[in-house]
Amino acid sequence: MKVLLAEDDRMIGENIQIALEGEGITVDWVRDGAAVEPALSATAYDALLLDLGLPHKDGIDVLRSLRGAGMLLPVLVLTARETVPERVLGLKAGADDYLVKPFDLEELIARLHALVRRARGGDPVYRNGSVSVNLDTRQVFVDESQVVLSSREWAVLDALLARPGAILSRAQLEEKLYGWSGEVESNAIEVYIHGLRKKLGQHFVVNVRGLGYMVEKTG
Amino acid sequence: MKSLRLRLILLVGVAILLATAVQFVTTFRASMTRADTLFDYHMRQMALLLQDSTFDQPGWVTSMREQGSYYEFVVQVWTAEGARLYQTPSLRALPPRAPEGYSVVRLGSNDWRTYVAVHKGRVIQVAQRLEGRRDRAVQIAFESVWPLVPVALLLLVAVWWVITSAMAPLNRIGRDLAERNAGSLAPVSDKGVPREVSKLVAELNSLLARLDGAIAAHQRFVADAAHELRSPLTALKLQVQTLQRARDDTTRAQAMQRLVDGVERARRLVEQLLVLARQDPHARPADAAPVSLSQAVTQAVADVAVFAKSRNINLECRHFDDTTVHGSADDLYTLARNLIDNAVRYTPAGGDVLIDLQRLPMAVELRIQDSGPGIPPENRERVFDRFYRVPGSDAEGSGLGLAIARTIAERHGAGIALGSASLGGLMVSVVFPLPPAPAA
Repeated sequence: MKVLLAEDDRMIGENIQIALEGEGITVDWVRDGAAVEPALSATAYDALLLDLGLPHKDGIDVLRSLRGAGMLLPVLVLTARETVPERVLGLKAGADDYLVKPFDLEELIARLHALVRRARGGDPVYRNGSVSVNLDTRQVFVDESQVVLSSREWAVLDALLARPGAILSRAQLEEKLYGWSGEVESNAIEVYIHGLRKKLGQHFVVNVRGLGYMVEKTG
Repeated sequence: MKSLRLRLILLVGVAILLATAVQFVTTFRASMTRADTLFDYHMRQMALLLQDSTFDQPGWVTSMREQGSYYEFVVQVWTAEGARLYQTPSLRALPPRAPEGYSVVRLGSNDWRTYVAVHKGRVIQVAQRLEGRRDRAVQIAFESVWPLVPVALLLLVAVWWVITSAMAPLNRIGRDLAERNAGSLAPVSDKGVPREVSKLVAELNSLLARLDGAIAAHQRFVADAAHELRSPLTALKLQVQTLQRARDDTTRAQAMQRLVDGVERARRLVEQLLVLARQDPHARPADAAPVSLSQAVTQAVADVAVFAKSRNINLECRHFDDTTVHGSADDLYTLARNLIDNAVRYTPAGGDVLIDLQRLPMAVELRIQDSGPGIPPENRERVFDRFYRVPGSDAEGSGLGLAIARTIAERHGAGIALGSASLGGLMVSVVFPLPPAPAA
């Protein structure tokens, strides 16, 4: 999963980025309201974490103009503006969810997952043969016994499960996995795919030579 | 507590009663004198009427007797030789013959007023007992003064009514104020209030408005402060949670350092809020003792020096006069400290901060320049607002430094202005006006 974080406070942004990346979520971070839309049009994100008190362009204005431009990605608003009229204003402008500062990291992560899952639609549990993946609880089972994935492996799996049956190129997967700051190692994706195949079975991830990787569309 | 209304009514009431009494006495005395004159005139007329009479008509005496009472007139007629020709038969004792004209004679225990006319050898005396005459005069006098009493009473009632209704607006304002709760600072209505009182009401309303403004500013400050505390608190909470989630020693140590930074930031904000709250222009006037500005600035430079060194910023004073201004040493230190701290904070590492203190002909100028990014002219007024940060600036400022500096400068009568520094960054200039130097 890859999200864009728009937050002007250095300490808050820094900690959200660290915590989310610890969960295998890639975070790109902008500190300026005017930088949000260019970032969204350059890269495909699964969600936007939007602070309302941004310099140069207020969060509400950002929200209005990106909804006006027809962007549908889930938006989770983070703000210190806690009164009911302010929340209503935020939701009306197109926010999908609302977290009032100071919030809990666990809650932020849980809401982010719920938002992204709702946006993808359908069953939170993906089944294929003996493998079942719960996208909510992020638990993976093979033959009823739980398998532990590294956060990078989970990130690759999560990206593939976002659109089962669709091929993702290595470049697309790399983009999902690394933020602007991350250094991409040349064969990293192959390493994670190899790890996934080892844990979930050789045929769980399908390789289409020259195009990329996919998981089978089931159900 | 004295009632103005009662006092007015009492004073005006006493004045009315005194005036009525004086009028009563003078009118009474005038009436008495007039009655006296009138009786004398009647006696003389009677004597003049009788002087041609022959006194041989029986019966005319009878008509006098019919009206007889103790104040009746008595007529006596003598010949020039003293033989009695006639006398009113009503009384046993009659006054003796008196000299010609008006006089008072005594008969027994009574005084008589007499008028004697001498004509054609006959002496005609008309007499009247003084006691009766006085009673009659008193009666006439009373008849002319009695209307004064109801008039005075009516006047008293009118005064009571006028004063009470004139005082009504004051009572209404009093009730209006008494019924208010602490938060109600709406102006008092001056409808129907007389001019003298409306001045008072206007002053009261102006005071209420100023109070309202001060309370609103205070509430705004508290709301702003609460809002501004949210960010450092959020950062602290996230930093603690990140620390809890750290899986190895390296990340734990990093998280711990970030937490320490977060606590320091929160401490700084709280400290700055306290300074600003103390610097509230309404809180107290600046102490007006002569203090050394150069000492305050030197102390501020010394206290920022460590921070500057940690950021590898070069602090330099090129021009430093020994100067004295009127004010509070603590406040001047806070002012200098905030400005120098700001300059160091917003200047990229390796930059320069220049601090000059210069005596001008009629003023002292503290000038702080830096090689940082500066502030675009369109933002130079807004940066003095509380909690305003220049968009895109990276430093963890509280947004209060310049607000505090301006408040202190204003309380010292000093002007504070922003400009472009020769070093490329921001220049802050604080100019303290000097009182004219006393002649040596």
